[in-house]
Amino acid sequence: MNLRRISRYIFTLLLSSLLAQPAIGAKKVEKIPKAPVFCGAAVFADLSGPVMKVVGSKFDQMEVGARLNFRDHYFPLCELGIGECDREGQENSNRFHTRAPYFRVGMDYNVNKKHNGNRLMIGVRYGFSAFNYDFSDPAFSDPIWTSSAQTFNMLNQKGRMQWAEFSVGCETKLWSFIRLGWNLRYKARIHQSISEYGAPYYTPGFGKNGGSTFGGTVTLIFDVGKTKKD
Amino acid sequence: MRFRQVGMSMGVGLFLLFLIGCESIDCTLNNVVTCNYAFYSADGQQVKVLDTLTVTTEGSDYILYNRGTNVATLSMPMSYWQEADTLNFSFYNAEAQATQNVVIRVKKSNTPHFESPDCPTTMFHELLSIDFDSPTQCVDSVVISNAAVNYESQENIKIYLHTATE
Repeated sequence: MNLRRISRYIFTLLLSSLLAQPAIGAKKVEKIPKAPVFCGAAVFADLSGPVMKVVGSKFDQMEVGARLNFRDHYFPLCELGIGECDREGQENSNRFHTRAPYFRVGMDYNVNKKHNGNRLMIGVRYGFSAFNYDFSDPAFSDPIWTSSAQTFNMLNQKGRMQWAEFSVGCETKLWSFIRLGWNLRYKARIHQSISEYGAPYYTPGFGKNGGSTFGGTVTLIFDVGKTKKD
Repeated sequence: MRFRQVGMSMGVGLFLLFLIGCESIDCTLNNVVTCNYAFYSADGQQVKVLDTLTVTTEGSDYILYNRGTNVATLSMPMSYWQEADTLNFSFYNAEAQATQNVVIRVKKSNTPHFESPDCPTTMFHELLSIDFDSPTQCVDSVVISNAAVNYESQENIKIYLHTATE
């Protein structure tokens, strides 16, 4: 619980410091050349998902996306991924499993006015996932009416969720058309429909189920098509 | 210079992602599902049972409640998979050295409920109907006041008594 508070504090601090950056050095008034209307497109992949899978995280996702670049400030984008969770309880033998696709659409805005290859991004996204999930408890038994024991095995429960994401992050140019970036996201549930037996522990693309959560990605970005010099 | 930027950027990002990745177990504190009974006089006032009350299950002879006095409310578990539970309420009057038995039958639906792999699985119920046998007329009537039996510990069944109350 304390770590979550600390992470929220750091997130807020980071956001405020990033937004304050354009004011730094405001004494020098430079005329910044305007970028063309269409500056190209890019495809990207999330590197954090494979890392989470390799280290045996409770859940992970494989995600790719594409975006357009207008004026080097506006980046409409879409993201597609597959989220997976196979989790056994820490103190019992309960098991939750799901594996399903998700998608997001939205837009990033580059706060950095200079076209120097570094970008400070703030963004908003709409996410959606429709998925099946399994839950089983092999040790579930009636402690009093023991003669009527049955197993608890709920398979293919249907779930849907829509959510909004607010992100902040940065990216920099590594080489030619290759960029590296990361972003942190605050995710807020808009609507969900769940099985009558209970809500899913994890929603693909959203993370651990709840009213809101935090997430993030580390992305490798490839500029394609018409590209600017930076 | 660029590598330093990349390194610092990635370092901060990974550190924050690490913090976000931490989680705690959030199970409901009150995770016991019980059907809650309350005793009332025939005129609708909540009362305490002065007799010594014992509640057993029919079928398993399991004692759910043993020799309670001054009982105003009772919280009883329900069977996970049966369609109906039958409970025997025994009211023992020490002065008269007499026992009055009441049988209450509750029909219900059973809905398994899970929160998280870390939390215990439970069974929720919906009370469908209730009836009783009171050969000595000790109980006037029994009604369902709230059909949902879940974590919320609200009163589910009202037992209206004729006697042995304060």
